[in-house]
Amino acid sequence: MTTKIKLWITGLILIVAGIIMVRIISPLLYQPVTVLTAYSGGLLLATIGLLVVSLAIRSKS
Amino acid sequence: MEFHIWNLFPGIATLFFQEPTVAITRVGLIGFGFLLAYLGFKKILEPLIMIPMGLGMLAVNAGVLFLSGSTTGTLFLNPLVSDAAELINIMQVNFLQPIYNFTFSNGLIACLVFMGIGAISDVGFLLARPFASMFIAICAELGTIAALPIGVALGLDIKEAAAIAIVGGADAPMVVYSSVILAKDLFVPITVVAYLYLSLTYGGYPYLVKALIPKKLRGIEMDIQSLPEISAREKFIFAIVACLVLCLLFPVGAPLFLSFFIGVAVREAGVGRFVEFLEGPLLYGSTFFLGLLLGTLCEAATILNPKVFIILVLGMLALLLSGIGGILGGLIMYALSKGKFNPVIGIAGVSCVPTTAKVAQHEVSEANPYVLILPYAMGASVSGVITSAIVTGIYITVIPVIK
Repeated sequence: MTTKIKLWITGLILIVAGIIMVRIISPLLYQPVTVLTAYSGGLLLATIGLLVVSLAIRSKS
Repeated sequence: MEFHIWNLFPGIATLFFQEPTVAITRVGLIGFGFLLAYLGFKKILEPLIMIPMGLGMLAVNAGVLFLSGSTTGTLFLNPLVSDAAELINIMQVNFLQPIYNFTFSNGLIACLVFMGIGAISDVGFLLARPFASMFIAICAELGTIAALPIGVALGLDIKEAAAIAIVGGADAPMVVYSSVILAKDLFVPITVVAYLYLSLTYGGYPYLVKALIPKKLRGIEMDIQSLPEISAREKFIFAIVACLVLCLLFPVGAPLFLSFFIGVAVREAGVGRFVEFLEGPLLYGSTFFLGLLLGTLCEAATILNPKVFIILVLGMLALLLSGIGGILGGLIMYALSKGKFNPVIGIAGVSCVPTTAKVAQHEVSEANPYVLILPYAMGASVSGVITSAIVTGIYITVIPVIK
């Protein structure tokens, strides 16, 4: 498996995990602190995922 | 019908029939409108916005006439009409009413400006150094984040505080979009303050850079040769992936994300006719009407809102903190790279493509004329647009559900 594919897979997994946390898990929670934690954690994961995908896009091998 | 000489000069006569504070404010706004237009003419403030805004402000406060009964009003627009039948009638009287209702109250004008910004933004600079660019851009959101609790502490409603805090993102279309959603009653003063401050800030940021970064650090050379070449295909794919992810995360902000990335995608796809349209007639046409309508919305009653003073203070604080945050981000990158990163790039993280990047390059050139940092600064600046859109997306998604 090339580095490019590894980066794509890692980035997409992080993005999907982030979106699931923001859009699915956080609305199911009740405590404001846990909602905020899940929401911010999901955002962080998705942002890192996007950055990893951007590395994958420009990776040549 | 009884004849009065003042019926011949209603613009002046209404000054004597209105409340003294309203009349004095009207005179003040006429003078302020003239000043803005003149400063735009002299290129001290951004002429693209300030000339239409200044003239609009001057005209709406001068062109007050007697309407039915003893009421006064103008033939420009009425932002408070919501009844459908009344709206249809008033659209046939007020000449700017159709533009206001079809482009302002739904945020369309901000999206049109954003399409143009997308068409002039090269995401290749971001892709060349994605982590450094995004890190700086996130640091440069300090004002956007810090101004929210400060606004609440100053007595503003959380939605109003969030709308003003977006000024810290230094992206005026975003301020228009978010304030229409979060604080419709205050969107005129917030947006006027945003445009005014953004014009002034670019004159002020060089002093902030000089105050916070020693000359020795400002002259650090950056390795331009090591930046990878990013193809149009790579930029196009990034635009599509980023648009998809951000729309999935923040559906409320999806119009903004689509507008920005459609501009980027069209540019990278090389659709010349569309690029010419987006970066020319669309961007400048929208900016023109944005300025004109903002000016005509600056009536005395709007500006007399007691919250305007807080908006003035908080908007300035947000932009100042964002500038400081960006520079701190640059200094952290300088430390992490063991002195190989020019910290001035940090100020470019306060978005508004490409002005802050130009400010950064100008400051570096003053310290060392042989140093080129523009590609790095553009990366931070384009990232700043994306992070501002993300913070706007968070605010307009989360704030309305906070009780």
